Amino acid sequence: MRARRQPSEYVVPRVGSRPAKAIVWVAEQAFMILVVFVMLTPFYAMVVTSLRRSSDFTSSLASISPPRNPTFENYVLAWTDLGFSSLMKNTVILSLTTALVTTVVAVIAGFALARLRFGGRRPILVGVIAVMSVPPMVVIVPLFLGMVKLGVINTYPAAIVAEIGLNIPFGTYLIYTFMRDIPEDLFQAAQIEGASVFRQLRSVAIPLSRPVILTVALITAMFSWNDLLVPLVLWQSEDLRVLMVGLANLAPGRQGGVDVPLVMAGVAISVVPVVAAFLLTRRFFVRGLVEGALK
Amino acid sequence: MRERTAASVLLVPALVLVALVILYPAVASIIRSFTSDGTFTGFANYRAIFGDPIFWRSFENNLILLISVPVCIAVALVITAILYRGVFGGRFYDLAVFLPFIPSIAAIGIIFIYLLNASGPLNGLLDAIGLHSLARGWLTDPGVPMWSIMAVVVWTRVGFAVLLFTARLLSVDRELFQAAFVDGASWARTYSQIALPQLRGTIEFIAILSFIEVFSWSFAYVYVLTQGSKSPSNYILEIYLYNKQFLAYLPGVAAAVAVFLILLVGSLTIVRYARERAEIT
Repeated sequence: MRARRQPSEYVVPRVGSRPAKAIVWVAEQAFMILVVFVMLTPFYAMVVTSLRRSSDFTSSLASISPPRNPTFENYVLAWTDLGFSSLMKNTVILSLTTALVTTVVAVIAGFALARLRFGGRRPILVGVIAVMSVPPMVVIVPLFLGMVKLGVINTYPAAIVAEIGLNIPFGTYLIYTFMRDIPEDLFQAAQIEGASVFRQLRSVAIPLSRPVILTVALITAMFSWNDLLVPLVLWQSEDLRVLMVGLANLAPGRQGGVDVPLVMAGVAISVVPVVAAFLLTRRFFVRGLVEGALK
Repeated sequence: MRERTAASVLLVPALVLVALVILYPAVASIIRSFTSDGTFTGFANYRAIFGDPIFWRSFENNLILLISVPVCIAVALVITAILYRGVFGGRFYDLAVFLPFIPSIAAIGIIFIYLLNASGPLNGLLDAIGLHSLARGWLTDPGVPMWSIMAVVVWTRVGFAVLLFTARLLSVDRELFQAAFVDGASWARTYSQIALPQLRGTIEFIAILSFIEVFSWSFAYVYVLTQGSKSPSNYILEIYLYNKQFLAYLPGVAAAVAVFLILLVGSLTIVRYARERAEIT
């Protein structure tokens, strides 16, 4: 999950007597196993329950055990009857468009902030950091009202533009912190050859920043895929629902009057793409988060 | 092309979008908070919310969620101590601890609604190990849901804290720790006296970030886990705002809540910025 490290880099010598060392070792393992159990059980429960026939399901501890006759029927049902295919389509549109546009905008803005000299640089930088903590709820309500007035509510651009706007500050900041550290001489070499600013951006900054650019795209895609609030408020019509909104409407009733395995299949459909994307790109993703936070 | 002009061109898209999506709504909220049905009413909306016990109940619930911050940091510090030293299966534990951070809150919420159901697996487990008295309606009994939600917040965010702590420790010169071992110190001693001070900055960062998240980014948790939050005893400020706008159709009042949130989160951000400046100087 981080840059490749040798086992010895991780292991710190253990001191103390044999029995003491053994006890500590056992205690550590037991604790970590408990932690992992807590962390992973919900995922396991989701998978196991989604593969269970609805008729075999009873809400109790037994429902966590692997089903005797696993079936994919819940997934098929969720896709067709519950409309998850449409939910997926909208989510993909929102997520990918947002990621694409946000990344492009963040790269050029981050580059400008990191490498160019101009008057308003400081205040804009402060502004970027400041707007990052504005509560989305505060922002979405006026956007909703404004969009209703303009008649653009429940159109594709409505939620997409909002999502882009909300993700730009963080993306720009990540790119900025990365590009800031590129050694000056690499740019000077290009400048000596008479390269314009845009040329420097294209030939020097971007190629060197590929990891962080990918990270921004990834994180933005993930945030917008997972987002509930923006599509909940700005895409309120039936055909514009995203996965998360669909899930929120499906919550199993407290009295359990809902088909839990079916719902779990829906949850799995919503979760698997993001988890898969994460597992495939772990290195980038983690490095991007860490750099964004520790710089 | 001069740098200044180039910079303007490159910044325009970002600035326009942010102005449109974040600044305009913020300003619109401020203005709207002083109106009611389009007419200027001064501080009436503010008086309304500050005099509303539900508003304060919502604020209290945010404070309950705030407890997730120290809990999360404490648990993360322990996990980091174990992982950093090196434990069999460390790589796998790394991944497992971080996994809850990845899926959406809505999805996680649904899973937990099922797990925490009064007749669901968690209570079933408690029964099975003889702790029947602990079983309860985790998301339904009065006064309990907010604490369950707080626990879910911790569950989701511990991995992120562990990630940052570990990254920070890995960037520390290992000789610092090895010197301690030469002196015969135990890992517990070494961790608390050498590692923790190194982590102080990261802890502060996570603390302030999490504070802001509790007030700004908790809507999904509560909305899903209480299924739309029908009962005011489970409101948080974001939900209170949402309801004022979409259920009560009182945009002025909603805007007042929004301004309150902006000021609250804004001051936390200023604190964070001030701390970062102080660290550098």
